[in-house]
Amino acid sequence: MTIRVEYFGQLATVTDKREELREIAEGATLRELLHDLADTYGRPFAAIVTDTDGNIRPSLLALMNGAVVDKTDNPVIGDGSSLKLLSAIAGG
Amino acid sequence: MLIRLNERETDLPADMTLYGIRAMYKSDADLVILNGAPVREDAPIADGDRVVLIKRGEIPGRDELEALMAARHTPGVHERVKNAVVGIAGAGGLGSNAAAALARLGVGTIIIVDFDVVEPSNLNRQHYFVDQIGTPKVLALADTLRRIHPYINVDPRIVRLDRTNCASLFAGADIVVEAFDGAEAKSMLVESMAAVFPKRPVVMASGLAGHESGNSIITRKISDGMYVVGDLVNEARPGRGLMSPRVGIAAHHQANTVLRLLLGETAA
Repeated sequence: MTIRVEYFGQLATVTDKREELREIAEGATLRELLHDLADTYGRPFAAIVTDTDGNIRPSLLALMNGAVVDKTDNPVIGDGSSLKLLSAIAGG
Repeated sequence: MLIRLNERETDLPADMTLYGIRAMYKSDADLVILNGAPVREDAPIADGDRVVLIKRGEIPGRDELEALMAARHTPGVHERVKNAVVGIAGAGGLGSNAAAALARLGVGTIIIVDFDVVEPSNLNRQHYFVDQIGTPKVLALADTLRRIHPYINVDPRIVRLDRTNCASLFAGADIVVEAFDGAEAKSMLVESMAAVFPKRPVVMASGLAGHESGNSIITRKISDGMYVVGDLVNEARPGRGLMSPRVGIAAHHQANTVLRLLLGETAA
């Protein structure tokens, strides 16, 4: 299956990409996608999106097909989906 | 002749003078402003002039103050914002400054939620004053907003926001401003609102620490209803502080995004 992934902020920096088309396995979940991306982009990416136990960091925001997803649901990503990934950062 | 007297269209005899207007409409006025400039002696009036009569220390009535404050707005803006309800999650650097901007706009109702109190370290960027140290932020901010505009509704809530209460506290808001300090809280607010009100606009901020160029702080539209202000890169951490200029720039981006949304303009 092919999906589109769009990166913002720090994630755009560590991937050196704004967006890409990505092949994923049928039935792949958000968490599996993030681990797959971490394999590609290494520790800087992994450190932003997951903790040391491999869980998705609470600060990560993921949108699927324009809707903010609840990470704790670990949603399955459908074929042709468009994902947007953004990590909120401290300061206010 | 027709003039604007305290921003109300007023029909006057052709030979009326400035002090004649004062005697007729507000004899206790101790400040007379003609076309934007204070005047200290009587002067003739011409058709189309703008005259403002003020008694120092007196709070004008609702209609008069709204007309006077909205006189410098773009026409049509005041009517669109006066019935709006805006929620602000967090009353720190972002929330307090965004709230002040929204109050000056005349946004009809502002719901402010925060559990914290004003501390001295807040004063480098947050819209508080020394005599407010120790006061719950939302109460201090409500007091300040009412001093800016006594006729808007300010709804301060001393509550720590979490996943269980965001949606209910902001159920009545047309738009919510995410104004937290912590990264996890920012995401929590966005996710919590999206779960219950998926079409409700949320204007978050991320990346405003330090003293990098203010031009790097921009507003991005991430999706319908989700806007992010900031450079998305510069997080607050030891060695990179939070200071008034960039925090204020971000807060005013947020307020401007709120205004644009209230006016039906959905582009970032």
